[in-house]
Amino acid sequence: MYWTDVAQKDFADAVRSKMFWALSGLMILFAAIGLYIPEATGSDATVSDGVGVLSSVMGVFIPIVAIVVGYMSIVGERETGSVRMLLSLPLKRWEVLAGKLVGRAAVMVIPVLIGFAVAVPVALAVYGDLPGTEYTEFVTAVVLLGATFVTIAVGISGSVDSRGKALALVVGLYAILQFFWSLIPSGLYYLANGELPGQDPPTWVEAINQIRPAEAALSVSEGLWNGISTSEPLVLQEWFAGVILLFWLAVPVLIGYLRFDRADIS
Amino acid sequence: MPAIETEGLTKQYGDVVAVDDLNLTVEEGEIYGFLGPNGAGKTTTINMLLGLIHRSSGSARVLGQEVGDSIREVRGRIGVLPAHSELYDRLTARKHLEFVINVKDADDDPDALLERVGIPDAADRPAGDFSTGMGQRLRLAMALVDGPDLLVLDEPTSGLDPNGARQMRRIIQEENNRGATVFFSSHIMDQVESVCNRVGVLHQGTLVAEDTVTGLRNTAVDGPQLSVTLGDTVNGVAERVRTVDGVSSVMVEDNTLQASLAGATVKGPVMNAVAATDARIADFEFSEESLEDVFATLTGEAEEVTA
Repeated sequence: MYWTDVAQKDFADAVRSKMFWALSGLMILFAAIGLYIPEATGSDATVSDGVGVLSSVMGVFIPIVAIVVGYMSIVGERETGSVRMLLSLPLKRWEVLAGKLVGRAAVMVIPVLIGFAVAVPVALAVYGDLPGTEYTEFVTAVVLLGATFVTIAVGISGSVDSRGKALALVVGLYAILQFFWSLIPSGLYYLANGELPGQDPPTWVEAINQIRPAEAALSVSEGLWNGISTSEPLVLQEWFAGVILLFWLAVPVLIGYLRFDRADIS
Repeated sequence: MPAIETEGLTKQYGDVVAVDDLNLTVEEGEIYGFLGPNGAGKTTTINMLLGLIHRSSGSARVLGQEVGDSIREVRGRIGVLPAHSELYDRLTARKHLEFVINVKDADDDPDALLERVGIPDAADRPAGDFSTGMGQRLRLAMALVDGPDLLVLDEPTSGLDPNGARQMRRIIQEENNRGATVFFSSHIMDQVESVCNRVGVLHQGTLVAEDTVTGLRNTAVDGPQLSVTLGDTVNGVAERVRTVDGVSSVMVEDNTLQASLAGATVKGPVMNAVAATDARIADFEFSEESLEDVFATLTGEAEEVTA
């Protein structure tokens, strides 16, 4: 279990760098303000509106934070040369990668939990109640999304030998998944039907949309807390989103491992 | 069993051969100085020995194991001081050492290690505040964790002041006395003179010489030189000196006589031989080729200097 030593060291480093605390503060701020926005802007706002606002903010914001937390994890140590010290110790490369991954995931997830825990009394004070399941479901989705993007970022960080390449890849992937992904099914639908999909898109359009980690994380969380929607087509059932999320959790970091393992560390 | 053994070890980057067909043997218990100018391939070699760089061809065995196999068993017995490796700025010296101690399953006392490398007060300071020399001392302390059987030190004296370099050599000697094999690289010849049993000189990826320090001196140049300037005539003196045991050649220029000797101890007999003639000795000078000169000759840097 030597990777736990790497994880601990990495986490300690992040705590010392203030990144951890900055992130915790930011999460508290976001959660509290996000929940409060509907109350401040509309008269008949409910706590569900608050969670809704929070959800759309977090969908954009969490992947960016996760990328910042993860993309330098391995390549940063290659640029400073400290990875040579790590790999001169009795550590295998997968142990370094696993340690980094877990350390960075903790740096991402713990502030999220702190932020959303602090938001609970805020919600209770503003709206007088907080639906437990809905909130838990939402926090679970945020944690899953954060962990997924940290994994992707660490995988990319292990794949390349310079900060520039890592940055280009994470930013590129983020832009595709966040902004351009929905164009793929819409475009295909347009090519096939000569018009854009309407209110009730066909299953395959929804299925392609659900490949995005943000959609998959929401769906998995729904499945975890509300059960599987067995009436839906197979590819839209929550367990299928679980398979997609596992793909995102496994494949980038696996590629990162294979490339890191083969790399010359000089 | 040699501590380090390479056969035909080669690393190629595209068309560039960084290390070329290197055959290196470091015996258990010796202090081996791995020398060469910057860019000669020393660090590349060390990186291959540690499995950081994958070799293009050849073989490398460290502590009897092929590099790449049994990482835990082998690297657990090696202490490494890597070159060009930054510390973790935000972590204290103690954290650095604790990390190495944990990963090596060792039970060393961080304070004792820091005391030994001469920075006992640095334990709770973050490495980002360290001077270059302090950083190098901490790296040495990290290499010493768990009393390794083999110490691999890449440019250990870089960034150290003369006093620090002296301490480094003392610790290398102590570790060797304890039974550790020490393999260290340097681009400064003088660093190795006092501590090394054997040196290898690497130039453009090839081992151009491998010998004891004394042996290296004698092969590269004509041995120590004694020049005697006489007050007046030199007639007959040269003939007389030539007959002295251990004098390999004598040259006369004006009234200066230059003798190449087999060893430093021959200078006494030579001076006696000169004194036994009528010649008056005006001046004399004894010079031993410095290791730095030998090094320059071997690596072709001498021409650059005189050109």
